[in-house]
Parts: sequence; structure tokens; C-alpha cells
Amino acid sequence: MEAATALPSRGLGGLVGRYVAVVAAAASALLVLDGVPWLLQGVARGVVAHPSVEDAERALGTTLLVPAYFPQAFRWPPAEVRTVSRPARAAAVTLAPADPERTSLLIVQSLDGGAPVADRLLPPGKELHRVSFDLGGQPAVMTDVLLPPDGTFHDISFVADGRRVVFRFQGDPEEILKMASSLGRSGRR
Amino acid sequence: MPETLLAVVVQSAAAAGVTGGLLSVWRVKSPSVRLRFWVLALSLPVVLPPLYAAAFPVRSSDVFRRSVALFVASRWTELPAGGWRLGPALAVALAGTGLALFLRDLLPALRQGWRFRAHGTDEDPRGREVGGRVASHAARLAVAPPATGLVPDDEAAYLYCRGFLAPSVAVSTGALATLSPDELDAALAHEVAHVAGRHLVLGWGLIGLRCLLFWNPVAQIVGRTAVLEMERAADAAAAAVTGRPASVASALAKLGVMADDDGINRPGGLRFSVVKARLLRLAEAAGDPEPDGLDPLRLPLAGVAIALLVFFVVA
Repeated sequence: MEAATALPSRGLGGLVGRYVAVVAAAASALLVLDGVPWLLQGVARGVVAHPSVEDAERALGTTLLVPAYFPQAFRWPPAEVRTVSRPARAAAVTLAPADPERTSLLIVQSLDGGAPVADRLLPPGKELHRVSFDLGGQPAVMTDVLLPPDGTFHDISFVADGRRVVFRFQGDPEEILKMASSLGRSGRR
Repeated sequence: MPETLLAVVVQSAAAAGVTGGLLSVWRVKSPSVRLRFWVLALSLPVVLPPLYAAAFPVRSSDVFRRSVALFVASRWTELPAGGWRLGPALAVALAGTGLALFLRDLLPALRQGWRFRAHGTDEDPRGREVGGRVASHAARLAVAPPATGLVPDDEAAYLYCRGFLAPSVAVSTGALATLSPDELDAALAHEVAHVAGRHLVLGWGLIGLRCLLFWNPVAQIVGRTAVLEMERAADAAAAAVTGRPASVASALAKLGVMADDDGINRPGGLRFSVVKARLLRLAEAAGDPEPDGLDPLRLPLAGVAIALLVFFVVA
């Protein structure tokens, strides 16, 4: 009698195993489908492209740091605003150059403390040279990074308002350092 | 609005996908059991989202949408499409497809309801024979015998079962002339099996759900699948009651051919592809796996899977 009413453990294992496989396959299919818009937009999975800084701020629930000093060399509004929410929130603002011969300026900031910025927003390169310096009383590091095929970029990295901020650019750092020193919460543009 | 529509369609697709997958890997063959799975797949994506919205407001938060959800519909609807957003075009395409699928089944049913009128069987000896066979099958299936009727239509062979609380079975005079006695017996058993299985009530429920979800193409397909399982369930019951699966298959084939001649999806008559699927199922019936005592677990597990997937699909 007992044998007749007990669940066959082997059959139960197979049933649950197949169940998990089918549910996992369905969840994976949904994830793939969810990733297609990112693929079509040409951004990495998890990166969200925003039409404006304000839209990114609404999505992230916080204001972004933007430079108060803004040289004529770059155009406003930004050409690109992208954010990620995992593993930590971060935002990247790309400023197009006024002179088409020059390259863009990328300003990336982590929003959850001084954690490193996600690679999806700031692609890693081969470090060629590093120098520490003082940026308006804050310790900062300038690193030369090789990013084939675009060449060598300067990364100025420092902590401002409790956030890790990186300016990536090519060319003379003088104007960029002024921009970095003037960094503050958005609102004045 | 487009993102909500897309989210519901994807929820239905996830429910349908996981249901189809589970039925396949678990080798669930019984049409009446499969029918329950498909009804679950159709109804849970309708019932659950409002409950989730009330009980879990966190699903609409940015954190959930960005970091937890498996599918966020607005990522699709906000895709740029030639200076516009993809959303409205996607919504129109989905709703149009859903409506076309819905009308494809509804319009013939409405036409048939208008065209086919059954007469009483008492004064016609053929009708009395039909009534006797129906009563006999009803007794075997432990259900009150439905009313019977004859449709004076010598041109076409069809049978149908109609009604809600007081079902009736009708046979065209063309079917009486076309089917052999064994085939007619099997076909009548099939119709009585619909009554015994409460398929008419369920059928109205399915029509109601499909009407509610007329814009959802996946729900329309799942609804059709559920109806096909009802037919298969009635085929299996007719084969069991008469003890002659070959007669059920033969009647099906004849009625299918007759129905295809003028392209009308008549009551009791189905398109060739559907007839073929039902014939194959009847042929497979002998190879059903032995019951393993786990049947009571399967449907709740499928419900949990659908509930989970629906939870993680948001607008």
C-alpha cells in the first residue's frame, strides 16, 4: 500500500529537472528578446542611451556632475548620454568637438561612491604612463591609455562629490583640466 | 499604451512557450489534461498582471525594470524608427494580427449559427435513430442525454453540438447519407463527449477570453490550440466509448473532406490540417506513456512557471 502511494523519486527528479530546463530556456529566450533593442542601437547590454542629461538624471534618480567651465572647443548639448545600473550606477556624457578635426571628450562618473567605472562606459586600454597630481586640492591621476585603433588617450581620474570621475580625451590637457576643476552638480549650463 | 500591449503579448508568449515546452518534455498526451494546461496559459496572463500591479508596485520601479526584469517592453517600443518610435507601429501590427485571427474563427461561427437550423427528430425515423444513439452514448458517459435535431441539408455532411446549459446535438441529412452506421455512431459519441466534458461551457469561456484579448495574436493562437485539444479529447472519449477508434478516424476524414469542399469551417467539420492532426493523435493514442503518479504535480508546476515568467515581464 505504501509503495503504491509514494511518489517515485526517480520520476520526480526527472520531472523537476525537465521543468527547470524548460523554465530556464523560456527565461533565456525572454532575456535574448530583451537584448535585441540594445543590439539594434549598437550599445552593450545593460547600457541605456538617453536623449538628454535631464532624462538620464530622471532615470538614475540623481543629478550628474557637469563642468561649470565650458570651452568653445566642445558642443552642448552632449552628443551622447549613456548610463548603466549594474554592478554600480554610472553615467557617460560624450561632448562632440566644435572642430571636426578634433576628437570627442568623454566624461564618465560612477554614482555609487568611488567605485571603478563600468568597462561598458569606459573601455579599458593598455596603460602607457601614469602621473599623480593635485587638481584644485584633490588628488588626481592622469594616465595615458592606448586604445587601438583610435590611438592614445589621456584619462584624468579623480573623486569629486564622493564620485569617481574620469575625463577621457586626446590633445592638450590644459582646457580639460580647467573643466575638471569646475565640476559641479548639473543645473548650470 | 503600446508598451503595455507588447508586455501582455510577450507575457502570453512566455506562458504559451513554457506550456508547450512542458507538455513536450513531460510527454503529456491526454487531450483533456493538455486542454487544462492551455486554458491556464490563456487565462493566467489575463488574471495575474492586475494582481501583480496591486501587490507588487516595485515591478514598475526603475530598479526592477533595469536590473531584475527579464523583458521590458518599452525598450522595444521606444526604439527609433525613421524619426518616430517603433511602439505605435508595433501596436497596430500586433492588434491587427490578433483581430484577424479572432475574426477568422468568429465570422464562420456566426455565419453557421445563422445558416444551420436543426429540426426536431421525433417525426423522422432517421432522427429517432440518432436520438437513440445519442441517449445510449450519454448513458455510457454518465451525462443527461442532450436534445437532438436534424438539419435538412443533403449537400454537406456535418454534426455539431450547441447550447450552454441545455446542449443539443444536430446532424445534417447529408451526414446521415455519407457516414456508415459505425462512423455515425462514432461521430455522435464525439458530440456527446463534448457535452459530458462540459466543453460547451468551456468553449464559451474561451470565446469570452478571446473576445477580451482580440488584439493579442498569441492569445488567439493559444485559444485555437485549446479548442483543438477539446476536439481531440472528444475524439479520444468517442474512441473509448464506442471501442472503435478506426470508426472515429474514418468519420473524421469523411467529414473533413466534405467540409473542405466549399471552404467553410462547418460545425463538426474542420480544415484538412486540423483533421490530419486529430487523426495522428488518435493513431498515437495507443502509445501513451504509463501513468507515473506525478500528474497532480504537473499542472500546478506549470502554473508556477507561468506566474514567474509573467512577473518578470513588464511594460
